[in-house]
Amino acid sequence: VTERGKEVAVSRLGRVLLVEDDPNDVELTLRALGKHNLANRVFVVRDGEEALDFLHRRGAFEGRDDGDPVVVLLDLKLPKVDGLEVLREIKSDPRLRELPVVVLTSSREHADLVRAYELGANAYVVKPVDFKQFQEAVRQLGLFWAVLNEPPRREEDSGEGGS
Amino acid sequence: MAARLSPLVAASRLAGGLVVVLGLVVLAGWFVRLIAVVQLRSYLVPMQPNAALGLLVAGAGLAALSWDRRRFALACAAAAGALGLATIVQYGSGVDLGIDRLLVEPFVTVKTFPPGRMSAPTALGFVLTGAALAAGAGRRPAARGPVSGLLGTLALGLGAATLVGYAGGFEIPFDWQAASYMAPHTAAGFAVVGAGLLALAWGRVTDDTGESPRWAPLAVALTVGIVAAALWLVAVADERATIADEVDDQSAILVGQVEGLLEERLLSFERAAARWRRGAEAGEETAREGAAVHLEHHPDLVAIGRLAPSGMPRWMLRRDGAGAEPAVEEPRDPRVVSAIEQALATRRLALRTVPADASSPAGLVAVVPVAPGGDLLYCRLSLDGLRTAPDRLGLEAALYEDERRVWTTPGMAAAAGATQERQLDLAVRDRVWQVRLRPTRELLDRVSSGTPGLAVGAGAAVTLLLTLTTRFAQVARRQAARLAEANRVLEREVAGRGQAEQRVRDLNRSLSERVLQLEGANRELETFSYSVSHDLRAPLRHLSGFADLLGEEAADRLDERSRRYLDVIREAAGKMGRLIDELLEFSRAGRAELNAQAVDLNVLVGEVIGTVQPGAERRIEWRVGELPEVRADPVLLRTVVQNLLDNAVKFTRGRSPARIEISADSANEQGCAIRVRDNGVGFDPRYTGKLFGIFQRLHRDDEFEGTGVGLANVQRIIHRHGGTVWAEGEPGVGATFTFTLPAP
Repeated sequence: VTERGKEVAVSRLGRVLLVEDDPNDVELTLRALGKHNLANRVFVVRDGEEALDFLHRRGAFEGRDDGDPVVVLLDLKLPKVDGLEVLREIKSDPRLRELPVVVLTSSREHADLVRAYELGANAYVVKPVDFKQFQEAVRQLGLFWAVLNEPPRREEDSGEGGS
Repeated sequence: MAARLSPLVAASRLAGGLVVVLGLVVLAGWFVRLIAVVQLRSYLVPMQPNAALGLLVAGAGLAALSWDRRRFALACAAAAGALGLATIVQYGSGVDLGIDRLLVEPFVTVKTFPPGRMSAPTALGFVLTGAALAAGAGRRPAARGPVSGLLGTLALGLGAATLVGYAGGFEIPFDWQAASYMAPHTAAGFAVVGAGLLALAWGRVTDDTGESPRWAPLAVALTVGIVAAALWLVAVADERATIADEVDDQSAILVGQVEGLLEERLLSFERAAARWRRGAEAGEETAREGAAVHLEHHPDLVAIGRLAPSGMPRWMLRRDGAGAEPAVEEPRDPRVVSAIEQALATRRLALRTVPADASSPAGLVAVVPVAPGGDLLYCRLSLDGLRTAPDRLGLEAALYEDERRVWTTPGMAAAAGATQERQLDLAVRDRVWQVRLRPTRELLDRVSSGTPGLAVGAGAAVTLLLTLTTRFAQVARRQAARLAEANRVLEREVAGRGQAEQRVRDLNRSLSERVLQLEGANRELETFSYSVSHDLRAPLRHLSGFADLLGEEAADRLDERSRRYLDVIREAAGKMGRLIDELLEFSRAGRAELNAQAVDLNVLVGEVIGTVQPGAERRIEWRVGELPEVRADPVLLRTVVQNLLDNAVKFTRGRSPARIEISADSANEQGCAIRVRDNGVGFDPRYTGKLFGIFQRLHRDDEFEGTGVGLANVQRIIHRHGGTVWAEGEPGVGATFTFTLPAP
């Protein structure tokens, strides 16, 4: 599966939107993704407002024409608009609803987890403290969502993204 | 003494005082000869000195009793009673003990015999009063209550009845045969003393029990009954007087009528005789014709005829046509002979009665001389002709001549009211007869007003009514009191319940306040742990991450020691991450809401065993007994089981085989106990207390890794479920952890 998947992935790699305010985390995440040649496809925004602006192509992202990301990696604790709020906006917007959102957070709080799934998160990943584990987790995420996962085609409306 | 003077006791005290004053005043009246207070009116009986003394003593006794001076009251009782008894003995035996004139020589002797002696009813009154006082001074409640009260009632009745007699104007109620009458003010004194005794006994019972005495209806019945009886006697006396008046009147009328009737007959007879004398020349034949006409005109004339001076009839006409007239036939009736002699001697009409004989009823014979020659005119009148008059007047009559009855109406013997018999003189010319008259039943019925019967009926009815009313009032009051008591109890209960409700409300309020505070604290704690979760872990991650990156980037440039430093940094960061995770979990175990549901421990333990990773070469012998289904929060309970099994696995490291036993006591109504036993390193029982404290560890970290949070978490979760957890252990032998869960 992996060999074949990789080939497919390379052919049609989508963009990853990373919503993360902590520069250290951004660096570690990019580092982890970079190991698998995914880093240059990652677009980083630093708070919830920017994330929404990016997705709605407004403000600083007015006229952006590079398409929607294949997955959003979303931290929960964000300045201005927090992660759950961003998640709600995405999932309540008909155009963005099918966009897979992976919550990538430090929070082990059960309430956060429940709330995130209620709002339609496609996955919930707790960032491990151990860097090796973190690296592995991010790597698998990138692989799965950006490479293996088959997003629904808007024109064909061919079903859900799966989780 | 009761602190508050009850009105009835006060009234009895007042009564005692009044009677003392009465007695004193009358006694003083005797000594200073003030007739107005002794006798009141000249036609009334005086209150005798002894009676005044008795009332004085009785009143003092009553007052003393009302003050609870029993000894003094008893002395008064003895004095009054002795006075009454001594007087009764005098009446009964006829002996004069000399007590009647002991105090003062009586100067008023109206209707009193012997002078100065109180009347028999008065003496009886003192006996009653003395007995009532003595009973009232007794210690037994029965004596102080009903006996004293009812004897007092009798004295009250005696006085009241006498007063009623006076008010009715008749003597019978207070006339005691030969004994003299009771004076009206004596009667009033007895009424007051008796009422006072009754009030005192009543008041004491009321003070003691809060209710009217049980004998109250009897007292009412006695008082009212006695007065009613007195009223009845008055009515009887009144009726008797009315009847006597009527009989007197009717008798007088009767006698007058009969006298008039007889006189008229005699006059008529004399006129006939005169005519006869004048017409003697006209011949004997004409005279006889005149006599026949006379006979015809006077229906009560039985016979008329002419007698020779010897009494021999020359001729005789009888109404029945028979020729013979027995009274003048030989031998002649001695009364007729006596009449002829009298008539010839006086030359006037002579009258005699003659009894009934074979041919004629009892009658009146009259002879009158008609001729110088000595002949006499004879006539006989039937007395039966008089009968219509008594009949009409409602009387039966009998005529007596010289104590011999010569004539009677047929109903005389059977006539009612022998006690109402009158005897009047019936005088006609020179003769006087006695007429005895008795009223007929018709007359009595006509005259009687029915008042006595009415009085008896009304008296009985009123007595019964008042007695029953008293009784019913008692019952009603008792019921009302019982109801009021029940009401009070209920009110107290309601008030108590109200207070309890208020307390519950207060507690609830403070509880909700506490809950609000707790909720606030909980929210703060949540925020805190959220921050810890996010913000504390991020730097650790960076520590670990960049140490790693450093290790990678500078791998060739770093020596062995520097690489070890990096490892230490990474491990420290990792350990701190675990600590934070467990702390958060511990905090969550305390905060999360219990979501209790049925949990099958067999399944849960099985699942947890599956997750325990004992390390590759470990051999663990699991012995799982039959476990119950319990009611608990599945997530939290899983944490408990996980922790206990993790520990068991951890501390059996180095045992081969390691034995871990999970069993349960049979569940009962208290709940169930779950036991996890291992054959691990165990622990020193001295440190059992430290086992469940957070961050408390019994082993060094290089022996057995751990954070010291697990068992604290277990204890917290079990406590939250209402259970207990404890541990037993022996170093080198093993440890047993037991937790209980309460029955659902």
